[in-house]
Amino acid sequence: MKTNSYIALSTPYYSFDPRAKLLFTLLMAAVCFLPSRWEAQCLLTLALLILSLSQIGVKNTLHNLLVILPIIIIMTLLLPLNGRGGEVYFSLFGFDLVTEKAVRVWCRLINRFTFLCTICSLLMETTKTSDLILAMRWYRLPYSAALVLSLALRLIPTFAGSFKEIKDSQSLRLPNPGEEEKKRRGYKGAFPTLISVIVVSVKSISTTSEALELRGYGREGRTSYRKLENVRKVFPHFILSVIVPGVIAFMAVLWR
Amino acid sequence: MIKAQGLSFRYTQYSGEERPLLFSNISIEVNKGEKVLVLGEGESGKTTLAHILSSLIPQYEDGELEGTVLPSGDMKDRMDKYSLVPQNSSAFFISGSVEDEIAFPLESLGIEREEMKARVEEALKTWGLERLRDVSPDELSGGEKRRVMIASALVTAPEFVIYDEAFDDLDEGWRKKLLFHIKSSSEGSLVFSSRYLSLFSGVFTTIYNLKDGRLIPWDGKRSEIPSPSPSSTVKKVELKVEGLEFTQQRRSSSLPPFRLSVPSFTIKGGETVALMGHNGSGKSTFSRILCGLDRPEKGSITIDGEIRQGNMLSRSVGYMFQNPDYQIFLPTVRDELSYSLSFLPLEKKEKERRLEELSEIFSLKLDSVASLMGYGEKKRLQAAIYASLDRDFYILDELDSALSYRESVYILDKLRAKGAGILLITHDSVFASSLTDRLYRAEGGVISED
Repeated sequence: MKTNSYIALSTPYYSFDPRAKLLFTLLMAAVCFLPSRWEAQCLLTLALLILSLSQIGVKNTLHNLLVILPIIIIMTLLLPLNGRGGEVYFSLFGFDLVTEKAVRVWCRLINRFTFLCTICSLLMETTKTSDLILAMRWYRLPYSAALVLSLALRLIPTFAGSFKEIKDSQSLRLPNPGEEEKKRRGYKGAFPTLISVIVVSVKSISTTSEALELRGYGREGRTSYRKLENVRKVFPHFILSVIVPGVIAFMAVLWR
Repeated sequence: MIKAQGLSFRYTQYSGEERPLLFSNISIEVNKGEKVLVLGEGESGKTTLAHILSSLIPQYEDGELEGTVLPSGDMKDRMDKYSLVPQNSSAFFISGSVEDEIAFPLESLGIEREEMKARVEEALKTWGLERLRDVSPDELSGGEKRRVMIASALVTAPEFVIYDEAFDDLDEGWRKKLLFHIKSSSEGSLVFSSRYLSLFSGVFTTIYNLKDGRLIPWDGKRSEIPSPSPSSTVKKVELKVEGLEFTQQRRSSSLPPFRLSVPSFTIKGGETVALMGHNGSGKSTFSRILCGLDRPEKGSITIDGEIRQGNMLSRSVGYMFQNPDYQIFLPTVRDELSYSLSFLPLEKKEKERRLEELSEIFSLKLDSVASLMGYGEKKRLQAAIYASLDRDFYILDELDSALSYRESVYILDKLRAKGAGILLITHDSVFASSLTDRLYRAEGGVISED
């Protein structure tokens, strides 16, 4: 598990206390699931993307969106856009292919997915793994659960890293110029990469366990190398992390 | 002490014929303060033995183990006295930064924060990692990763340390430093190495050779570097690099970005050129650019006067990564070798013939499970994959790590057989001078001819 999502910058969100940031992330995720107008959800996602752009920059925000783009495409392909209800936007030979209600459902789902991924990425990219574990432990989560959660949160960037490594390695195995078979490989070319990512992921389970064993994971009386600020010093951060989602939730419900 | 008696081991075979005994009835003992070296070629069972002595086998890797190992029990319960420096540094990282990785075992031991701070600082300083403290493991070079592994193994001040190929990936300066530590410390040290380095003289009290499943006292004969076989043909191609500049940003720390500059570099078909330099000096970065994986900001790479980049470069320059685990992903040897052949317009029979030929030349079993293979075997598989591609140029990044001279030269010969140009990256100056025609050095991000 060698991938770390943390990006070393010094914008205001970085100085936000990890415990308050974790609380803010969870409350905002809950707000995202409140029954509200789809326009309100779009605005909320837009506001979050602006926050992301201002805190981790254009390049990193775009990178995060690009990572989830394939999943959004798959979701779009699997979601029928012709659910019953609302205005018919497009029909062919008497069959309604795109309807207003279905588009709204699609919009809501994509919004929620983008929102959740962006807010989690923002948390992981502006907080060091060790601080995140400490924050989870502060909320009385056992160390083992906090460690597993931090490893799980690093899983997607690790898979993305493995995918890139494998793609790089496979691009080095293409034939010399002019030697390639003329036939197009199409989707078949993606299979070896996907199989390889699965093999690498399965393999990493035992090596991570071995590494944890070597470093004494599971011993009694574990101490902590890092410590978080005194809660009193960062109390305004906690207030802010409750007030902002609270106000948003109130406005969203009011606008319904 | 570390003591093993009457050890026999065989890995579990999941398909096909039963796997042979890796070693049979071997015994070894390391007492406090003793320095023991075990030499052995690839697949002789060095890493397996290191993992058995560290109780990782059979707990995490399946196999039949007979004999007794002392101390017994889980490694986590005795990690205050025993440590292992694993061979595969990349796979053993847990934390998100160098500093946290070194602190992790101290946290497990329940040491007070102030003492932890002092010990971590000392370890960072001793192993030259101070400026890399915040860096994420995936942004470290091979040698830097190795130093982090050494630092986290030694930070607990153990009484016994097992070093599994710990000298690989380290440049000459860090090899001397590690050897000085082994020699001067009071710890019992058990070092596994694929070959006897000239630096080892006068350090070890006992030296064994792990060969054909038996552990025998070393006969004192140092392995000579075999003369490479002359290639029957020479490819008439020339690769030229001019005015190359590249900047690599570090995502996880506020350190300034790494800058690489290569004013001029040439290599011709049939030539073997060495590239040497300190850890983190840009050797692997240059290799990635040369084979088209990364794009330089300035400068040009030409082959026979024609500018090449990206895909066109990666189809002309084969790059054998430093760590074979980054290049071998498919389930079996057959799958790995078939992948490259599948792109060629060949009949099924011809593909099968080539598979058989490659497996014979590189001593591989087509049905072997790639993830269960030893390091040396994986390196041979890497070489077989590239041999099947018949590139004009090959970059061999630390080919000699975890391989004996004989095995390294064998692979080199096979890749040179059709007259390709070879860029050999190594930390072993003796190995480089006896095999190569010219030498480039990487220093502080600048690569120039020596």
